[in-house]
Amino acid sequence: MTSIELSWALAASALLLYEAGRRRRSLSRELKGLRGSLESAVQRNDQLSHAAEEMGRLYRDQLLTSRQRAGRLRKVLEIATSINSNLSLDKVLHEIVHAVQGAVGYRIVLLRVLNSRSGAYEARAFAGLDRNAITKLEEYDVPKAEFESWLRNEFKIGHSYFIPHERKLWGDHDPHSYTPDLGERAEGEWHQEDVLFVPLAGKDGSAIGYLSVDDPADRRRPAREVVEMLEILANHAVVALQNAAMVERLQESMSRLEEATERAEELNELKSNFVSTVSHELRTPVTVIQGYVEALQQNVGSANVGMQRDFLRVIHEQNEKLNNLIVAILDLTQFESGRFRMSREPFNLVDVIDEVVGILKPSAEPKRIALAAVRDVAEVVLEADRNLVRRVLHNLGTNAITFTPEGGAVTFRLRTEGRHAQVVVEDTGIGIAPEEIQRVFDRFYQSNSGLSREYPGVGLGLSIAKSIVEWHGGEITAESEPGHGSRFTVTLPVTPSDASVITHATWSPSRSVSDHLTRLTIEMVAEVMNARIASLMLVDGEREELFIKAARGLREEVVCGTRIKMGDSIAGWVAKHGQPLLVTDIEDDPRFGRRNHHQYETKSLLSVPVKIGDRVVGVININNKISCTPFTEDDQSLLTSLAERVARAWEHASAHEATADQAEQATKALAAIIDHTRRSKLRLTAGTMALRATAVGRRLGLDEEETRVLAYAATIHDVGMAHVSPGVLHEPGQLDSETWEQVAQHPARGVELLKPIEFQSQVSEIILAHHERMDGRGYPRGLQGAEIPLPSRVIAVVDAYESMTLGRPYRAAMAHVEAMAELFRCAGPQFDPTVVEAFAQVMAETEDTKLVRTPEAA
Amino acid sequence: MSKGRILVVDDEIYIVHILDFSLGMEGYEVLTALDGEQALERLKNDKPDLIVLDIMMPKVDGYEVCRAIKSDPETQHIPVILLSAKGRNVDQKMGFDVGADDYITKPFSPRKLVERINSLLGQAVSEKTNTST
Repeated sequence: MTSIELSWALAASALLLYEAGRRRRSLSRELKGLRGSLESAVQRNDQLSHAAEEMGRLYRDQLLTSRQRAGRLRKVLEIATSINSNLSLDKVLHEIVHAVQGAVGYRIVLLRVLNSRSGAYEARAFAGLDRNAITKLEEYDVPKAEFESWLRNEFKIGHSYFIPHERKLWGDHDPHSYTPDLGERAEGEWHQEDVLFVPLAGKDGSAIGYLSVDDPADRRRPAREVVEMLEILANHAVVALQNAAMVERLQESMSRLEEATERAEELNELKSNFVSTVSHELRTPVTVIQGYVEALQQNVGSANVGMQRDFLRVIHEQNEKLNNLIVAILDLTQFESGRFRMSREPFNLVDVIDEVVGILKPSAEPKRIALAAVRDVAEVVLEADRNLVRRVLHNLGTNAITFTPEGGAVTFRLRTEGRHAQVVVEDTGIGIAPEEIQRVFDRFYQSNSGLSREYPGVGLGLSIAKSIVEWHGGEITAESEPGHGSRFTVTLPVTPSDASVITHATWSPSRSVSDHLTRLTIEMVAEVMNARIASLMLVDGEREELFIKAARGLREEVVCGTRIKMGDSIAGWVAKHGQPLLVTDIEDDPRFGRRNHHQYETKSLLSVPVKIGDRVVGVININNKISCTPFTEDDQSLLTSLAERVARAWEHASAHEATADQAEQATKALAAIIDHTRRSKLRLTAGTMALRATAVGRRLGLDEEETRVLAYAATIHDVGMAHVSPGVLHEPGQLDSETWEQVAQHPARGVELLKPIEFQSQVSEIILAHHERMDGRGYPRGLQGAEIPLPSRVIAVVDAYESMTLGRPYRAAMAHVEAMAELFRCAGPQFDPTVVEAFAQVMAETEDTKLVRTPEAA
Repeated sequence: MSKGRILVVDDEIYIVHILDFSLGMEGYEVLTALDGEQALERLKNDKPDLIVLDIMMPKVDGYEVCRAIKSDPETQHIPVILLSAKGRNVDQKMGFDVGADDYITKPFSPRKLVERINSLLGQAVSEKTNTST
């Protein structure tokens, strides 16, 4: 096993151990639940015997007063006993309705049971009805609300409801009526349109079903005693229903428990296999080292220097190998302790494929394998864990090369399909037999089989690759034709599965603020703030409530189902007070309970109002920073700036005289910001520009408001570059005059684009001047020295550092030190020396790795 | 003259090298094989006096090789020392079940291995001497 293989194995095991831990916890939860169910089953039994006792008492009482009634009650009791000893629900219900028919004397009986999923009462048991009537009843489920609307106090007898036909509750004719014609009835006799309902009261008092009876043998309207008997039988139906539900739940829990136990055992088995594999890997180099050291010791003083040097080389090599293993095991420990986190970031999949192909070249060349990457696009942005994705592709590539004989070919193909990116790794190798292909992804399947040792690098890697891909919400498949080659296909969602924007189509702040605009709003916020979850809530003035208009990263039912009272919860507080709110750790914040937040995984969130004039029209919420760090004050001021532009865009689009064209301009401005943010994120962790700029701004003594403006301007300053064709910046050499024209106009273009949403003239000024030089030789206006706004001078420095350390396709990236030297060299004619000085101090002081870019990272 | 002929089987080339070196220093003649298949091949042609056999190997593993040796009347008298990195009791038991004469857990000192070989060969030699007289 190679050390790459082993580190894959370690990672795989870490996943397993992590999973095993989770299983164990859920197992104990399960057990707790089961214990609870058993307790309530015992309780249920108590209830049963209590009911039996009560019935016995009733029986005794009644026996004395009426022989006939006693006879009926005996039947009831007999049936009740048989009911309780029988757990087949349908049979029980059948017996109950027949007991009602036989013992109480109603010829027609219907029993309906609530289906908690559909929220309607379904016909489940019948007596005295023909097939046609039953079919009709089975076809119509009575919705809970409808049933409840019939239960009026005026109809109440005991716990039941008698609805006389004179009340005409269903008008002249009840469409749901199932009773056959009972013939002429005298005044005061039971009428065919009379209705008697006996609710089956569940634990909380609501009806889990009901009995409906008709056509009493004695033609009488129900007397209290008769209703009481019906209620006794109804209670038995309740017990039977609850018991049946309990048994079902118990069975479910049991099978879940069994499954979990099985899985835990399986994991344990895998774990011990793994331990023995790791142990083997560790012992081998130790054995080699021990052997060579011993041999050297025995030959001290030998004249054979060549041999000694050889032995020392082997010892050194093996020591290195051992060291790598130990590092990997330490990683594993960290993994196991649950500190491991997937870190998602946006990156270009094309770059990763190129990188992997580059790494694999040296192993393909000796075998004269043609290694190629084929793609129809230059850029596919994924939001995923870059390192893990690279490991998956590297592993697939390594396997492909290993199994491909000399002179073959290994090809990486990239294609996109809707919101998915697909990487296909194809080889012309020996292939995989059909019976093996099902199992190549099984964990540890091959680790002990001959195949993996014959071809090191296969076996463990695929199972971990599968875990990683599935972790990202993707899929990995294998196809092969033995003797001709294999094809592995990795499909990954371009953005996490729940990241699409959902809009809720009920209401808009104004008719002319289109769904499109609100959608863009939320997309812009999510992109600029680097938040996985973003939502836009609007104020429903009539109801004094907030509802979600558009969201990214929330499930549809949350979007459609959430309503928050003004003043309640976080968004409600923000809407009521018109103030932003930053919660770095919601569990520690005494202002808010944990309730209503189950859909959010992180503890940090940020909420700002959207105001038109002084009126709060909505709230923007963001949660879950993609970097997994909490939101900061800086994020709050940036989001506040964005919310102000959003309000501005809405106003612009919905002004009285607004033309379609003006609405279009507002959407264009937001779209341009989104586009710009996405483009710059490919180069740099989003928000870094703004972070650096504000740090420098503060150091130069800008106040809070000025800093806020600077942060926003730094975020969007290059928005005008969207119109410069991207190829231009990727080519070396001088720009031709036409391109130069485009580049020179980008500050003005940006200002123009943002105009519909910009209300602060400073922002436009800053953007316009960010390419001016101190000596007046900048563009577009050739401003000099202090004529250039200070924030523009700051952005110029931060931007220059950025582009130097990042490099261009035609120019290598500079190290931090070199870039700083270059800034100092140009301080004076190009940059403001005080800004450069402040920037240097910021960079020197910060320990934030996001701010200091190492050449490797670039 | 050589003290005896020993077949060393291990898929880790450095272990084979160092055992070749150490046993050679001790006066043994050493044959080598890098997997089970090679080992069985060598057994056909050269009759070693003792086999040092790794367990975890590609193609045919050490247990299988050992079983083959011990079930063939031609070779069953050859002592086998199993080398394993596993070191769990169950593996040791498995080793003896397939007929191994001794069992050494990695990591081990080559000197210790030499001692075991010396003692096993001493035994084997004396047994042979006994039966022939």
